[in-house]
Amino acid sequence: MNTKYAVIKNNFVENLIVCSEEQVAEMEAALNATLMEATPLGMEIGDYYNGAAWTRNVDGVQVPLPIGDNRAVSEAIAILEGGITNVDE
Amino acid sequence: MCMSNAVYIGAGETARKIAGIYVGVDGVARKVTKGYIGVGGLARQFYSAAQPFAYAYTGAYTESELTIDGVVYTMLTLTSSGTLSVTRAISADVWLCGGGGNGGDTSQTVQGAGGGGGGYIASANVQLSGNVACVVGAAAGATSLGSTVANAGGNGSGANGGNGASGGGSGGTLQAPGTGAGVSTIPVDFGITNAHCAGGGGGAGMWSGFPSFSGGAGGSNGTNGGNNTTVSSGPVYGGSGGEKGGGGGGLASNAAVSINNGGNATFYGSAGGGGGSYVSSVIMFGMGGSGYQGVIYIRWKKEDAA
Repeated sequence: MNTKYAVIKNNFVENLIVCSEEQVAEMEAALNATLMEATPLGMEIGDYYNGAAWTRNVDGVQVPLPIGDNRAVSEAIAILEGGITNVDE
Repeated sequence: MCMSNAVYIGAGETARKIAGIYVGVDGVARKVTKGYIGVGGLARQFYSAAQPFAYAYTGAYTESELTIDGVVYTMLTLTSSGTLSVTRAISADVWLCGGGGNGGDTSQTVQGAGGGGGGYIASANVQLSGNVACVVGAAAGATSLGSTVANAGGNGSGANGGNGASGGGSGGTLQAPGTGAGVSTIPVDFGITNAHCAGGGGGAGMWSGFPSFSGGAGGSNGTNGGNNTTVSSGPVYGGSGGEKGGGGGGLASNAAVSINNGGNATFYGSAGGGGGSYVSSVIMFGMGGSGYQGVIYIRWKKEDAA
């Protein structure tokens, strides 16, 4: 099943792509980037992870995205922060 | 005459395949890559040692056969990202489009949002070899095949329509429609007659009576988005989505907020409609519709892959 992934480089969302879960590792290697599901946060190109939250520049201000209580998002952020290394595929 | 990449010799009434043909040149065995024979005064190729062509793709795709001007092609339609691997280099034509932009959302400051712009297109003749990364853009994402890139359509921005291959319609507060690229979005060289990358319609805006505004239509096949229109009485409507698959703009209704949401796009590269809004005794802000993903078409001559 195809899913919408954010292509993340240097904590920025660089692109949004369609990819199946089976191709995530392959595309990460090909693009030299990290892929993260884009839908839970409604991620867009240019969104920035500041070390605590994903944010979007709105009229010059970095506004936190509405993360909410979403397990998938919490896990994804923990992975980015290095808090989870044993990822259950 | 039939050309082959194998040569056989009779041995004990059985045809035995010869693994390779070599000829001595200055004391060195040189491999023969092509063999010709004279037929009617012309050199006709009867043998080639070229490696058989085969391909594999790791993402979602379909294969079909296509005949254009008497030339038979193998055509691939890639609908998710992956790696295209070929056993030997081959010349191919590619056509790709980025994901369509999303329609804008309405708010206190945006009453009737702009539609998204359709994804941009790119085409090229490329030499496929080895492993090629193919990236299919999601809504508002870029599509690429190797170094050939098709950018995403722009999202509706405030009441302005997004720019793209076809522009998004403007929303309900007299803002600008999106600009189209002015080139056809129909990949005719791939036997396809549908336009891609339509713009989304602009959302309607009504607040505290009239005048209010109906959204502009989304652009089609490379055109600009449409301007919104002033409405002095009666209902106000979202602009229609461009052809094919652009999302329509949301209404300005006090009945239910959901019908003020812009429509989602439904075809490759097309954009979502802008949200509509109703601001009076009740306030209902519609959200923008989603753009649709991009796509990659690839074709190569079947004879080149023989």
